[in-house]
Amino acid sequence: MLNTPLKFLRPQTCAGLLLTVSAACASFAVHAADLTIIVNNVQQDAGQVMLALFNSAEDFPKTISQGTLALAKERNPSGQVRLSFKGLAPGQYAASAYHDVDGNSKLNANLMGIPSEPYGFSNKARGNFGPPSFKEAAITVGEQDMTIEISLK
Amino acid sequence: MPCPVPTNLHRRRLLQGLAWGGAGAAGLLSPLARACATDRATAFARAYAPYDGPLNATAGGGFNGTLATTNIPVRGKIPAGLRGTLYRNGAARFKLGSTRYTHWFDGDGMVQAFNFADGKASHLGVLLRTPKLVEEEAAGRFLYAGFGTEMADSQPVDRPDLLNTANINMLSMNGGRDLYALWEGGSATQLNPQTLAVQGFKAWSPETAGASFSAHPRRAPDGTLWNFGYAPHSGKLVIYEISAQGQLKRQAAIAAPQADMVHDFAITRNYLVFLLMPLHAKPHTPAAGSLERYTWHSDAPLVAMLVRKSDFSVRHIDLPNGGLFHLGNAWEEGGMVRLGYARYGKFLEHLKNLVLPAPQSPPDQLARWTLVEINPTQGTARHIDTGLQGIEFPSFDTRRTGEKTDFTVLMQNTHSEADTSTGNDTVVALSNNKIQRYSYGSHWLAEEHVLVPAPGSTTELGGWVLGTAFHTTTHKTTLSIFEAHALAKGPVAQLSLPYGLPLGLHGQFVAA
Repeated sequence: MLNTPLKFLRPQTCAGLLLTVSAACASFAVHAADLTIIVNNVQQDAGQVMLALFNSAEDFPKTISQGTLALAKERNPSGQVRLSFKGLAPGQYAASAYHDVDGNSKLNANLMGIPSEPYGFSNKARGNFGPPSFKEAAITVGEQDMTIEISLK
Repeated sequence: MPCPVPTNLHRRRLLQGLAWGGAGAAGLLSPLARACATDRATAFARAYAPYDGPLNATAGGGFNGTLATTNIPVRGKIPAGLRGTLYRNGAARFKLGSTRYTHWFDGDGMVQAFNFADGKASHLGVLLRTPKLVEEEAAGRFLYAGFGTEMADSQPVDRPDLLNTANINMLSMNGGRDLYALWEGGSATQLNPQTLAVQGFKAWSPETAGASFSAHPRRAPDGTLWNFGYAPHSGKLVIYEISAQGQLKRQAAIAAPQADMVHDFAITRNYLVFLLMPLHAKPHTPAAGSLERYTWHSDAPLVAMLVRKSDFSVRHIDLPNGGLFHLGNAWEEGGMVRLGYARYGKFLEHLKNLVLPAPQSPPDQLARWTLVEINPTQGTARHIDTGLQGIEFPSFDTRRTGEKTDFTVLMQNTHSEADTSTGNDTVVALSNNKIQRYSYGSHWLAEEHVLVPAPGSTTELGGWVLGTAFHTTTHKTTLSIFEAHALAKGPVAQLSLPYGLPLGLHGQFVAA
């Protein structure tokens, strides 16, 4: 009655290259801010937490700007992992995260295309029969470092 | 005001009035008929007032989510061999805080369990604490648009189970140890068979987690459970084959035309049989109720889709335009696939009419019992209107699902032609072209009645027909037990609950 295939959140991250590295793939720029993302609700040790950053509405949510990941077993007792993107130029960004429980480096979906692993977006955006828009998930990074949270559901 | 049962003469006059009057027929209806129509609409509304559960709940002066009665008063005698539990499900809560659902299918699910042992009966009714209900109770209001109710500030829906009310049917697996409340847009909801407490959504496999699992699975005589799922606008159906022990044996997503609303299907020895309606859904837009997405294509066929069990190969055969919720049994005979279904000529109109507090459909929108004979080799079909009108809720001997059966139980709306209210009053049992009827009378809204085989009996008629009915003047619910072979003689036992239950949809009997 309700499902629309949600073919999003499939960043071509460097995950495959860096399975054992917790903060990777960050690109570095000068005169810019660090964005720290606390990913909440990581419910089990298996697999990895995948984080993707987007810097334009055109690319969202397919072509990522940067990606990083953490092993789920590195979560703190509250079920959080903390990841950072360093040296971001000021501007609008959107981030997506998912818990790649089976470690296959992709967001699993059921036969109807509905994601079957926990995921979330920045700005508490939730999709409605599809992914949210860049605008709904957007955060503004200035010249100061900032910290945001994404809760997986 | 008492509403007398219309006489045949009265019915004939009304029919003549309709025939002569055409568009102006309403003006010919007698004041009595109009009063009765209003009476029944009011009664149906009462069955849902105050929109938040059963009527006349005794516990603590109000309904707190659970109702229980031990040793229900019985008129007549409960058959000694009747042992087990009739689980029934249906939409029950329609109001929360300032918000209200207005379509019959939108309410939160409530399961009624009638247990029979040692000639006594008890009842337990529980409003299901689904994730949706828990989230909305915490918010103090409904948060999501329903299937047929729009809500301007509906929360985003990024997975169907956020809307899962688990309110359509029941499924028992693994010898009664596993119990599920079924919806059709998402997962089966597992319940504790004793307390009816929600245990969580069932994932049959990682690939089908969160996918639609329909409310009408069918169990073959070897114990294999077959089911399907659909998603509007997806162009496909998910198929499930599950062992008697509850293990998924096979799953598949198969391409399907016009599979945007599929409530039921049938199985035979070799085929899964789908009747796919010319009902098309547009892509979802936020805030709109799902029902608003649909359009009916009156020049397009109803498509019978036969899926071969062995390799999931598919064959399509066109049938006359029409719609349906439910099929009866299907089987193969002489190379043909035979089945019956409750056919609606104006399905979408009827669906849109199922709104509270007074669902009403004119007689030409009610379903007719229709038989289909498909030649799978030639790809042809015969489509036979039996003339039996105003029927729904087909039930048969589920020990013979997919094998030839003669006995079908239907519910019928025989209310006066002037009375367009939804609500069945009569149980009809078809066997070998013989019709048995039992009418509850004009003050009753009778719900689905199911056929329960007697232990040790091998014949279809060697069992009982069980069903509930809501009495519209006392606002109480009664459960009746008939001998299947003598249904017309009336119930051999009738249980009277001290409260009224919200009108439900489907149930399953699980033998002890």
